[in-house]
Amino acid sequence: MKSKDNKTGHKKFISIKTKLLSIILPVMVLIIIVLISLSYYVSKRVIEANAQKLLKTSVESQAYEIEEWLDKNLASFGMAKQAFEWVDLSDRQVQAFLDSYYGFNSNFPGGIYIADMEGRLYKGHEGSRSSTGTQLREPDQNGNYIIDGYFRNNGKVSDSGTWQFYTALGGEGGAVIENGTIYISTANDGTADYSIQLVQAGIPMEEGASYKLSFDAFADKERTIKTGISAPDHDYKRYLNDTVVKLSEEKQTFTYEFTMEDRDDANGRLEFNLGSTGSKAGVNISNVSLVQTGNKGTAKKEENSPGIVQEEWFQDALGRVNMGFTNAYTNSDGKQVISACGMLRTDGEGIYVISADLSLDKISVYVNSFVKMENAESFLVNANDNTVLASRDTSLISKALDSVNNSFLKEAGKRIAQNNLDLASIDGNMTVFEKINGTEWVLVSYVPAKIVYSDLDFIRNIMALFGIISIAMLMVMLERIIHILINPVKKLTDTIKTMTEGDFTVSGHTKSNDEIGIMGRCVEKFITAMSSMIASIEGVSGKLHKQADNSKDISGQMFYASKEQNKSMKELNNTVEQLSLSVNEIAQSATTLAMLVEETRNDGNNVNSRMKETVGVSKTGMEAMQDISTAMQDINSSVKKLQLAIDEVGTASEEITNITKVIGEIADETNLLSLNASIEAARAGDAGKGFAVVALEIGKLAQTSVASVQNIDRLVLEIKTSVNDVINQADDSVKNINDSSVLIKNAVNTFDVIFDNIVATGNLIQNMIQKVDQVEDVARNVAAISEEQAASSQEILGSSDILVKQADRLMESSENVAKESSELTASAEELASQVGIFKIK
Amino acid sequence: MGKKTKTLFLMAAAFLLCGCQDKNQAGGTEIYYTAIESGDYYEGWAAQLKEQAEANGAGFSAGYAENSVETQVSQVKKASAEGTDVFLCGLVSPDIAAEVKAAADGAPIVFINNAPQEDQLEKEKYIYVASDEFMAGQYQAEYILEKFQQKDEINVVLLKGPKGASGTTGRTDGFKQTLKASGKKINYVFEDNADWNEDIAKELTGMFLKTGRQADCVAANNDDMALGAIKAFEEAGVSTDQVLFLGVDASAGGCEAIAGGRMDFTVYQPMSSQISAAVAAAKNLAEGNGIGKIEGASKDGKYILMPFEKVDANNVSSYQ
Repeated sequence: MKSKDNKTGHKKFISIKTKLLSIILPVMVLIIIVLISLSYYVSKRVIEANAQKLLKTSVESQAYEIEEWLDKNLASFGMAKQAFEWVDLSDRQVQAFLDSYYGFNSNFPGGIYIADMEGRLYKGHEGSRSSTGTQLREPDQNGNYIIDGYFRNNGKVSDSGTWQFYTALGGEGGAVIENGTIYISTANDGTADYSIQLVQAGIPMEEGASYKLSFDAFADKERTIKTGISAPDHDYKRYLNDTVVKLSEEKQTFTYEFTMEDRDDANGRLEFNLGSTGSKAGVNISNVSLVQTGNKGTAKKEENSPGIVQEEWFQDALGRVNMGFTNAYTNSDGKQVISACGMLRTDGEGIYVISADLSLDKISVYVNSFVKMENAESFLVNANDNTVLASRDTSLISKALDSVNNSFLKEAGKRIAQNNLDLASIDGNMTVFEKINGTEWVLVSYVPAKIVYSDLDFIRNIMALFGIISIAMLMVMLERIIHILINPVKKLTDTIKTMTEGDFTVSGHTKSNDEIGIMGRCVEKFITAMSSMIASIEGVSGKLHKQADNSKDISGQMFYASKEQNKSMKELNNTVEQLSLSVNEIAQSATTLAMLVEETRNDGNNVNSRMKETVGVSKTGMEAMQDISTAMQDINSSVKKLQLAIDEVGTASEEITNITKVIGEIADETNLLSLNASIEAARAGDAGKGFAVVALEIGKLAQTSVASVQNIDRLVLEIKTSVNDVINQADDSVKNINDSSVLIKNAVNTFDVIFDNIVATGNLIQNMIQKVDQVEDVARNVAAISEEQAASSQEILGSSDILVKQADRLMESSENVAKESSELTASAEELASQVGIFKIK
Repeated sequence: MGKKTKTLFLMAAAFLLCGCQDKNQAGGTEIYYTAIESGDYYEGWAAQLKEQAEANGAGFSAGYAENSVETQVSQVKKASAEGTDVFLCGLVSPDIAAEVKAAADGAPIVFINNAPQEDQLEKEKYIYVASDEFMAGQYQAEYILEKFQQKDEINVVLLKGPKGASGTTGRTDGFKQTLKASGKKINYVFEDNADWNEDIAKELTGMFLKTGRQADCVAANNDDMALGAIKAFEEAGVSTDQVLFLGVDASAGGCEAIAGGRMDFTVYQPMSSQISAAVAAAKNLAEGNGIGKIEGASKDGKYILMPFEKVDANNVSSYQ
């Protein structure tokens, strides 16, 4: 655990800023990325759906246009057909009817035509109509359709006017009319035949009419020109094909005849082309005329060709009565058409088919131009055989989709064949299919998906850019904000770091008004509080140090004092022990004395009885005088022995007196010491309380001892006096005995006197026994007192033993106190050094 | 989940349950049928619808628009104001679906008799109940293919209903697509709209017969037209032995012709199943349930298409 703590404690420092940034930034970036991805996805879905909708709407509206157009035409055909069915089919009426439809409607300019099974074809024609159709102007009185063919208006010819002169593609030249002739000069013949060109437009050309063009011409030098009549309104189709005219220096008349096979055209254009011939020779032209040499006449007879019956439209028409559309095909005019056709209801056996050709041009317009979506394309397919009816790529028309080498078209064809007309993505194209109601046609519209997604790419780029910019801005802003917010914390951290090193001289002041501000202010308060606390600790520790020193001194002194006391106590103990021993000895001696005294009394009693026997004997016999003398001698020696014993008692008493003197001295000294100890104990306070009581007891004991000793002294003195009396008596009795023996030996007669003496002696002995009893009592008293004293001294010894132990403990305690006050001093010193770490103002 | 949340949840559940019960107790679903016009046909529909609705415990009333757009819209508006829960609507014109929907004021509509534009339908809200017209044409084609298994090339006379009618389109598409899928060469030697009409069919067929073209079969979008074609053949004295005549509807005349051996095949359009499906759908929509469990419901939830049944000489007696 500890090592782990150490590890965590030494963890790499990561600042709050880094932490915040490393948490917030990825989250923000993630959120932005998710948001952008989400909106991109949603945009994609919306754009896709919109594109699909647009394409669908576009193709639907196209289909609707086509349907409408077809229906409209079919309706007008139906009306015409009904009209035919109502009238009797006489040739004249049919023709009139058909003619009236000719050019009636731009959608079917050829009008309606009717055919029967024999191949008879009834067809309307323009020629019979004057009220409608092309208006052709009449020629002049010579039948000439050329205006100013004789060049009567002199002057320069420009590119406007009756005659027009053009130069093009590098052609340079001029034309001047003079004296009925136009002269065309060439400076540069250009690169095309029309580089130098003289024309007259607006020449009426009638279908079926035959014309003769004639003019006179010659050149400055032999050369060729080209002439022809074209149709500027019909793609410059040639009515009179370009014809090369060889000119010489001689004027010649040139004549060309042709038949106008196309439909009426009011705007024929006569051309003389001089360009790109390699010759710059001037050309003169005059007398230009175009006259009609004949025309087809009015009525168009029905044409009769059995082949018609096999034509597609005819065969198709045989399959229905109500008019319907054929497939697209190329008609006899070489045009892509569909025919609306059906059988006419007739009463007779004959079968008539009515039909009208509708140009696919119009449908092509609907298909190719009515696409409402940018970049989308359409094509129209006949689902029956999968052939293309209309497409911008005209080469596809009439081709089967599966024969085209294009995987998109092939797949589209496959889907149409399977009648799978749902919206699909084919070959990267968003493709929709729409059936044209009333037909078996399918309109296919498609748009490359990448075009749809080009907007999306744009949005994606914008979003990505926006995302990157927002992330960058967020990064900078966050960094700044966190920096500003965290800065006070950094300062505080430094302050706290300094504080941690014990330096409270720093300031935690911060200006912010948020939690960090509160933190700062708290740190500031903490610093102030700590400073004052440390200062007061320093003061206290100083005082403590001083007190500890004092306490150390006192405890040293106390230790010394208790040591001394201990020593004294031990000495006292020894003394008391000796005292006890002495007292015992006294007691023993006193006992011995008592025993001796008893013996003496017994002996005295014996003497007394013997004395009584002696009196008896002495009364009866003299012979026993000798024995009496001997007995007298024995008595003498015994008395001498007694004398000796009593002497010994005197000596012992003397000794006791001496001892008691010593005890008295010691008790006095003990009394003094206990007084001293009481004082010291009082100074030691509570610890010395017990000791004070002991000291007091010792004092009391010492006083009692003194009293006892004085008592003993007094008794001993009494014993001494008694003993001295005994001794004096004994000395007297010895003298008396000695005197008696001399008298006995020397005088038998004097025996009576002796006898009297003996009786007196017997009395004396009685007296003496009384005295001995007194001695015994004294001895007994002495023994008892001595025993008492011995017990007392034993007590004193026990007490002083306790006293010694107490003194030992006291010494130990004061030693400990001394030790602890040393430690206290050390602690006070350490505290002082610790507090010294803190720096305060 | 906290105790409070639990309590709220339980209360909400209880409330919902009570709500459902109240609705059911309040007299059930009110159905209103707006028919295209009066007359036997649609009144017959109304009678059967009513019977079916009452069997389902729903209220039923009907109105006849008499082919007038305005009448139909005002009928729907009025019925809606009177608390109709769901409409059965035979549109006077397919183009007025949006207007009728607006008039219904959010009530679900089951279209019958006449199909609205597909984009007017909405999943389980505005639905169309009808016969599966495509299937009728498909059955005809299948019958022909079965009979002409050996032939690689079949000449077909096709008599269609009015141009643009849903029956015409569906049946014709089903017919043509099934034939096309067979891979045989199919020649439509005659194909025209006879507008469901026997006389027109007879006239058109007569015209066809004049062309001298050969026909292997005559398929008509309904029985009447098939019968007209048969008459034309008979009147022109053309043998019908090798020619199949096919109709749709299993009408009395059609069935009789099949029984008599003049006609070969028809398909039965089970009106009663359409009616029960329409009422069931109406009830489900009114109660906010889906139509998924109703037989014939399309996956997109916009259609319920009832299947047809095949009728030929073998089983015609059960349809007579």
